[in-house]
This record gives sequence, structure tokens and C-alpha cells, in this order.
Amino acid sequence: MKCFFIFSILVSSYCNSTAQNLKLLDKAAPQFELLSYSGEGFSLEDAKGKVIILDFWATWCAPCIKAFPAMIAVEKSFFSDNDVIFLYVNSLEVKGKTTDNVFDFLQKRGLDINFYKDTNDVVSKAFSVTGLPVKIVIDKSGIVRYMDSGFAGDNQELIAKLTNEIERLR
Amino acid sequence: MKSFKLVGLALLWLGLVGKEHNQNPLFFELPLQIEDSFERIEMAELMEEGFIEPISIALNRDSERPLFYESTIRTTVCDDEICEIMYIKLYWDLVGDYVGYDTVATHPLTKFDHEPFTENDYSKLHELLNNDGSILKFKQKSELIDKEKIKASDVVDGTTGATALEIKDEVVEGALYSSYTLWHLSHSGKIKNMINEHTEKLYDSSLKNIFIASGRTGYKYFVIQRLTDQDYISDTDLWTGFLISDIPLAKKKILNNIPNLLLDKESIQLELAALFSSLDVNSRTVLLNKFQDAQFVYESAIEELSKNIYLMNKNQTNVFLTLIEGGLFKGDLLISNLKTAYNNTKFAYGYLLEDFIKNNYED
Repeated sequence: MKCFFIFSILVSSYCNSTAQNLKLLDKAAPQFELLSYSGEGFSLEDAKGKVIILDFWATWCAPCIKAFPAMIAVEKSFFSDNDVIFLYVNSLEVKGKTTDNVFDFLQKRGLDINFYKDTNDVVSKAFSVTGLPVKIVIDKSGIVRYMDSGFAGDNQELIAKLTNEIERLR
Repeated sequence: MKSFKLVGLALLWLGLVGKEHNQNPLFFELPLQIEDSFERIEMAELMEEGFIEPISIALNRDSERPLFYESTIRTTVCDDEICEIMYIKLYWDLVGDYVGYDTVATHPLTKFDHEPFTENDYSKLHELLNNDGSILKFKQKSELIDKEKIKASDVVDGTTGATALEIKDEVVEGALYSSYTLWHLSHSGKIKNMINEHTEKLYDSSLKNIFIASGRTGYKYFVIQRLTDQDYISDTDLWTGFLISDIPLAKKKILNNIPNLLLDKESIQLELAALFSSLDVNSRTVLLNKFQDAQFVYESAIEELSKNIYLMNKNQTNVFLTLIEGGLFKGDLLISNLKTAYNNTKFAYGYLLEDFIKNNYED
């Protein structure tokens, strides 16, 4: 029993460290590369000088889908700024679901998103993403400046928060 | 102090990299020690809406016999705001009843606020999963939260009081949706069916004997469901034993399945009649109906049943009187028992006997 208690405490400290990993705030973002459904490549290394917004999502994640209209609204407001890049990272996806399946999923819902496939969940692992949705903003020098998980359903709040953050960093 | 530190370091290592393969699970109800020598055979995969990958179920067996089934599961747990991925290893016995769970290396269970499960939470989860009649069985996911109680500051899966009152004691505090998801996985009808179908293929006389001796209700019911007419005829002790000790559903099943050929024997009728008082109310009805189906009902069986008239409900009393009428039984013991029951002030249906006695046994 005692051992179990000690074990719990140690696991607890391990978990807290995992949670801290998720908060990479003000730290250098891990390097990563992605390929979009339409075939465009992205490399963080090549994106120095740009503000990057990562939106980790999956088709099974209802709050992720619910947050898309707000995300699209923010993306549109920065449409003319080539130094602001939105990456909708399809990660932790259902095994066997192809990018075509994911594309169909978005089309059926009228969501016009150029998503990036996180093959083998490499990028989500690098950012210690264990739940969805997660939104991350990386500044022009490659430092993580914003991390948020979940979506409570308030579009205006999300739009305001992200817009302010991007305005601050661009 | 030094040794304490070493133990601490060892446990920390276990927490970080997971447990050794042959370590026993956190909770495991079967009376056996899991060993490295067990053969693990992938049995089937199940993919359903809401799963992010197929659930693969494996049979564990030693050199002599199948032992249990297990699955290491990676699944999603979502509330209205966020989705998490949960890892767990579930164990079922050979008929698909939940028998335990374990955590998966480097993935301890956590609550929605990322707080890890406490010792009590782990125990509570096992207690919850062990209850196959949990109220969660009848709940839709949307019914888990009392929406009117949610405050703006609430973490939905947390400890805030928004959890619907009637399920509050049935779930791990702060892990409402995890508890719900895991209960429905542990008691999934599809998984149970897959396991049963697989065990059916392995079922032989040796496994049958193991099931009978196991004392596990599910195992005995599995045997009962597969008793043939020949089994009933050649092994009376087996099914009469089940009739005395087992669950009502099993008793009902046995009584319904006794072959008529066997029921026509006086010794069998007498034995069944003698068991009447030990049966539950539904099984008593099934037994009396079964007597009605018999080609011939023996007076000795009727006399035996008559000792317990006072235990019969209205419908059963009527069926019993029909049996007497059909056989024109007039034995002294029967008449005496009928009169005793009629005079028993605690027997609510004595009035049914009054006319019957008057019409059949009084001049």
C-alpha cells in the first residue's frame, strides 16, 4: 500500500512535468516540417520572420470543428499579410483515415481549409499535445508565445484573443 | 534512508517508462498470476464510431488452457470543450466479463485538469467497472452533466457539482467522461459477443469442467447455455446443482430446457418439486408451467409441491390447481396440505382453494 502511495506521488510528479512540457511558452518551438493536402510544404526553419499559428485538430474532436469558423475568421482578417501563416494540423487522427477522407469530412461541413497532415503524429508529439484542440502561436524568431487548449464555444472570445496575439507579434 | 531513495528511484523509473511486462495489473480479479510464459494470441479487432484506432483483443493462455482476454486501448474522451486521449489495458474473463484493468506505460490516468489519479481514484475506477449494473449503463453521454448547474468557471469533467446527482457516486470525481467511456468499453456488448464466440471455439469437456468448478457465475451460465438434452439426461446432478445454487436467470434457463423425455420420469419430477421452495418467484412459475407441459404428472410430485402451496402467488396457485384437476389426484397428504394452506392466514390466496376443496374433496 505504502509503495503504491509513493508510486502515485512519483507518477504525479511525472505527470506535472508532462503538463509543463505542454506549456512551451516563451521557449523555442521544436523544429518541424509539414505537407498540406494540396501539396504545399512547410518548414519552421524556413519560416523565420513569420508569425505561425498552429491549430491541432482531428475529425473526431467536436470542439476542434466547432472552433473552425472563428479560426477562419481570424485567418481572413490577416489574409493580405504574407508574414502570418495559419497551419491547420490534422493530428492524432483515426487510424486508417486518409487525407482524402479528411478532405471529404471538411467539404461535407463546408469548411474550406488547407489542412496539413501530421504523419505519425510527429509534430503533436514534439509539442507534447495530448488533447485537442490546441492552438499555438510562434513569433518571428521561432519562440512559442501563445498556447491554449480546448474551446468553450465562444467565437468572439477566440477571435479577440488570437487577433490580439497576432497583432502583438507581427 | 539510502534504501528508501533507491526504492523511490526505482518507482520513479517505473512511473516514467512503465511497468515490466510480467508485472501483475493494478486490478485483476481472476485467481491466477500473470506470467511471461503465457501465450498471447490476437483474437479479433473491433472498430466503432468514436474510436481512433481498432481495439485489438487478445487471448492469454498457458500450455494447458485459455485463461483470459485483454486489450490495450487508446481511446478518446471528450466533453463539450476538449478531447483527451486515454490509454488503458482492460481484462475480461473467458466469457467477456470485466475482471480488471491496468495503466499503460508512461500514460497514467489523469483527470481533466491534468491532475493524476490518486490511489483512491484507481480503486474507485475498478469498483465502478466491476459493477455491471451501474447506472452509467442507462445514461447517454449528454445526460452526465446537469447543464443548469454549470457555472462559467467550471471544468466540466471536474469536481464542481455539475455532474448529474444520480451518477455522482458512481464515477471517479473529476473524471466523469473517462469513467463513462471506460465503463462502456469494459461492458461493451460487442466485445462480450466477440469473446464468447471465440471461447465457444475452444470449449471442450476440459474447459467445461473448469468453468463448473470456477465458482464464477458467468462461467456457469456459459455451461448452462450449452447443455444438450444428453447432458440433462446423463448428468442430473450437474443441473440440479445449478438449480440450487445459481442465479435466477440460470435457473429459468435450466427449467425451460429440461427435455420432456426427462420430465416424464417420476424421480425427476419429484426432485424438481422438492426444489420449489428454494427457487425465485419467476423460476417457480416456469417450473409449474413445465409440469403443465409434461405428458404425465406423478402424484408424488404433486404431493411434494403441495407442501409449499402457501409460497405460491395467485397465478401459480391456479396453475397448481389445474395440475391437480388434470390428474384427478385425491391422496390424503395432498388434501391435508391443501386444507392446511387454506387455513394458513398468511397465505393470501387461500380463497382460491376453498371452492376447489369443496368441489373436489367434500361430499
